[in-house]
Amino acid sequence: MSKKILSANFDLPDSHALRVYEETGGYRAIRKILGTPGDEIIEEVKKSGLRGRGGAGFPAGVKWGFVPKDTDQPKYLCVNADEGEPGTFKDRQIMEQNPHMLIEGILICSYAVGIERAYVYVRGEYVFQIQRLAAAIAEAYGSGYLGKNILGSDFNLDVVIHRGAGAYICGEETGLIESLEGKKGQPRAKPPFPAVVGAFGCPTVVNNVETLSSLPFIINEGASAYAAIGTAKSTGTMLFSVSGMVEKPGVYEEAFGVNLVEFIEERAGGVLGGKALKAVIPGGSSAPILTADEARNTVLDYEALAEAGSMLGSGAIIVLSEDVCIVKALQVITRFYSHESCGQCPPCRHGTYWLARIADRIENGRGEPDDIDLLLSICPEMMGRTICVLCDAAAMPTESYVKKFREEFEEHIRLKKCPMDGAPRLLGIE
Amino acid sequence: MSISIKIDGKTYDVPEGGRLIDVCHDVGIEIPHFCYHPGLGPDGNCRMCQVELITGRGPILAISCKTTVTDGMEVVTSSERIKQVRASVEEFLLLDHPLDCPICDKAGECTLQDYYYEYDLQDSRMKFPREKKRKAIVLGETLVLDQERCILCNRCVRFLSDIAGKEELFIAGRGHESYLTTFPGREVTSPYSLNTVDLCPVGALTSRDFRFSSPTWFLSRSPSVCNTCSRGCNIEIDHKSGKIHRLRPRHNESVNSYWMCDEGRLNYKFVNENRLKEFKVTRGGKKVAASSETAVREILSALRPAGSGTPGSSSEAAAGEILILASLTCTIEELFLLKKLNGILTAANLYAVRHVPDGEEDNILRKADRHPNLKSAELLELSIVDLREDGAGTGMSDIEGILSRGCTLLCVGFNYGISKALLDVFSRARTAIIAAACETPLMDKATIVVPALTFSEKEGLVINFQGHIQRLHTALAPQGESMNEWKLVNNLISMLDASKSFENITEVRRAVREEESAFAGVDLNAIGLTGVRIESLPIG
Repeated sequence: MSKKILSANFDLPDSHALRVYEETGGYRAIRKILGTPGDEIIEEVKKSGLRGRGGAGFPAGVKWGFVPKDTDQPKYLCVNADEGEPGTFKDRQIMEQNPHMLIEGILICSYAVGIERAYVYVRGEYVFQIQRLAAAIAEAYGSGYLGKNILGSDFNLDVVIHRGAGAYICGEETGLIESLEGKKGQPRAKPPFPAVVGAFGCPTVVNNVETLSSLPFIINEGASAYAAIGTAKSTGTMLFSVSGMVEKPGVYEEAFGVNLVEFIEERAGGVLGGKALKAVIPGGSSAPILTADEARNTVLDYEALAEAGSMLGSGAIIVLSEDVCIVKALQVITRFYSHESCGQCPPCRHGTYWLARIADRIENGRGEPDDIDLLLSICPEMMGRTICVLCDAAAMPTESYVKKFREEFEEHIRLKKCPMDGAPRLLGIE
Repeated sequence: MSISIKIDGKTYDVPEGGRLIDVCHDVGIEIPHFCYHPGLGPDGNCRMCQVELITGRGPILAISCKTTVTDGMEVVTSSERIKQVRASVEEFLLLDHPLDCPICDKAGECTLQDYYYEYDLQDSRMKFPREKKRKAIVLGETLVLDQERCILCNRCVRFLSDIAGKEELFIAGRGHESYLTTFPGREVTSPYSLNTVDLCPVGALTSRDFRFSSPTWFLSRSPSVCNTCSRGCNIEIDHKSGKIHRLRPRHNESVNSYWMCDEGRLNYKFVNENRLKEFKVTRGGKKVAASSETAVREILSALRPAGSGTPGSSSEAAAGEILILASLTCTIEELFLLKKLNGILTAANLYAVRHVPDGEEDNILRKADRHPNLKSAELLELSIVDLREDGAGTGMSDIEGILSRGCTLLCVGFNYGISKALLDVFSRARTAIIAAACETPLMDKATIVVPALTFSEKEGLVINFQGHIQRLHTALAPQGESMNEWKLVNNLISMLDASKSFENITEVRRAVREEESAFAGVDLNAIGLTGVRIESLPIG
């Protein structure tokens, strides 16, 4: 079995309880660092090579380093628990099974950066997980892990849960901050980055749940122990959310560097019903698709997937069997991005809707021969030109679906219908 | 401090810290943009102003409105990639645009339309029926919204919250279903609401006043100064066939920035309506049309010492003292010449009159004092009488003595704001002569009427409450036989004492400089389009 850092406690009875967390070495890391200068902790996290697990993969320690040291303003931590990327459900698992690990991560980050208030922005649909997290926060306050003079030190920290209202874009860090401030959730033009001007105009760290949850291990075992796991540039482990046409969908922790298809077969039981693998979306719905052959020849880490023309993203692996219609998959994801575009930038507001209308038309048998090239010509006009990357997140997969499965699109247009009518839909989105 | 940047291969020395989009503008390179406005700052949503910045990693796209210039920066604004970026933003914006340009008020001055011709010029590749949104939504007393035309640039939203100080519009919905709207059940009530029409890059927000009034390309544009309050916002008069169709603010950072209030903007109707077009004298108790020569001659006899009047004519009652009232809407030149006339006439008393009731004041632009030129009267050391209905009433007692002894009244420039006190003064004069542009209740009581000009037809200078001298320019041709007030007064002076009259308005301004200590060293003939603050002028 693979190295377990994040999911070590998941199978223990009452794994969410403070008692269980403490019995398994919980809150050891925060005790260890109290008194250590924050800069040293930031250095340690930099050394660990820990990268953001929300999708962008930006080195966590480097991000913390951007927060100004000598400022009179308060600093904030925003914990990104919005988990909106279709196919992703690993933060849910952490909050449900081991919320204290997240709280300790929040403590470590806040202590290192000099933060006294942290907001956990949780996806509104995570009702049960919010209850679990709220209970854990209450327990932590009760045991002196949160509040004033934590564990007798002069370190204070308050943690506040903020429920999101269901917008995908609020998982984008500045969209999250706007929403947290009570405004319409839409990303801010950057610079300034949140590390300098974030929540309420103050320096703010925005980190994903899984990123923060990796910190106790790094502090307890040392950066080099963490860096020794995985590959040279993709260090540690990641929680992979496996869904789609697999025998055992679920969250699996794995060290970076394993072969993608072997991982699907060994951990998730292989393709559902023993069918042939058609394609894999390796990093959430925003990631370009990999054909079965490409998936067989790539390993799970940031670099290998980038080299394969896709991305590790949030680690959401969506498996497509031979039963799945690619055009229908495109119809579903483009409709999603069109619905979730905040609407600020014309390329995204109009581009995503245009893609969705074209994909819908092809899937419904009304496609025209030049639609395929139209799709391919719209995509580059959407990429890299907007305030945030939602637009890219719609265009990149679209381009890959059309390029890699062009004959399926041509077949739809030729037959004036979907040849796989009744094929299973991905992601449950209608 | 100056830094060096390279734009499209050419090196420029530019001031440090500027916005790239402004810096490009200043060196003559226009970067197309929808959401950026120098008065509102950058927002970054429209993506039209993208340029390429040359970095160590090669060229990267950046929005020039949010890019600060740095020393050694290298910028490309004209590459194929940038052309393609602009064309594609245009295409995206036009996908569901209704293209009702032929009936759109903005046609001819629409940024979306202009940029299409400049940067796009391709047929739409969109084969779907266009999205329908709501049209012709009345947003309040001033605005109408067309949600289909809106490109969601956010300028109006930002103006109302950041400049006008009250959030009244917002963008609701998400993605392609986003739309501009008011808060539920509310209207736009800002006294500055019509600035959003100027700011709107398309025809989404239109002015209820200007709507369907004229295609914009038929309008001539002349610079001027608003005469509604003592701010004197710089404006542009948009006119056609001798009628004003709209006023719009003209940028002047030291007076009004890019804005003006709705009250000032709509204060042009008096120019188009109820105008006096002919000279009138009284014959047998009735006012009849007369030539300008006859009228001026009769005014002169009315002003000359007693006994010289012609029996039965307008000046029959001429005798005793003369009361000269100048509206504080008069220009510096007019006030100065009236002061001269007052000096020539032995029995005359000149007062500058506050007669327009105070209006709303705020700390944005509007000033309570609704006279555009009070400051000049102060600098010319004129006696000021207060005949505002709501005024402190200081004035009446000053002129009570003159009125009670029976006098000849000469009034210049009362076109609106006719107060009860003013009417009272009129009814008590033995002979009332008025030079005004508009038909007002004063006309009933006047014996001689000279059709004069409004601010939009004359050359002249006014000084705002800050001491900023500004220049009115002739936008419209005089209506009928209308005569410039300064010319009327100058004619009277020349008939009384030719040596004291002037050849032209340039001479008048020179004399103001020479004879009035407050204007010593102020070259009034050199006042440009954005005016000059008095204290900043060289003295000497």
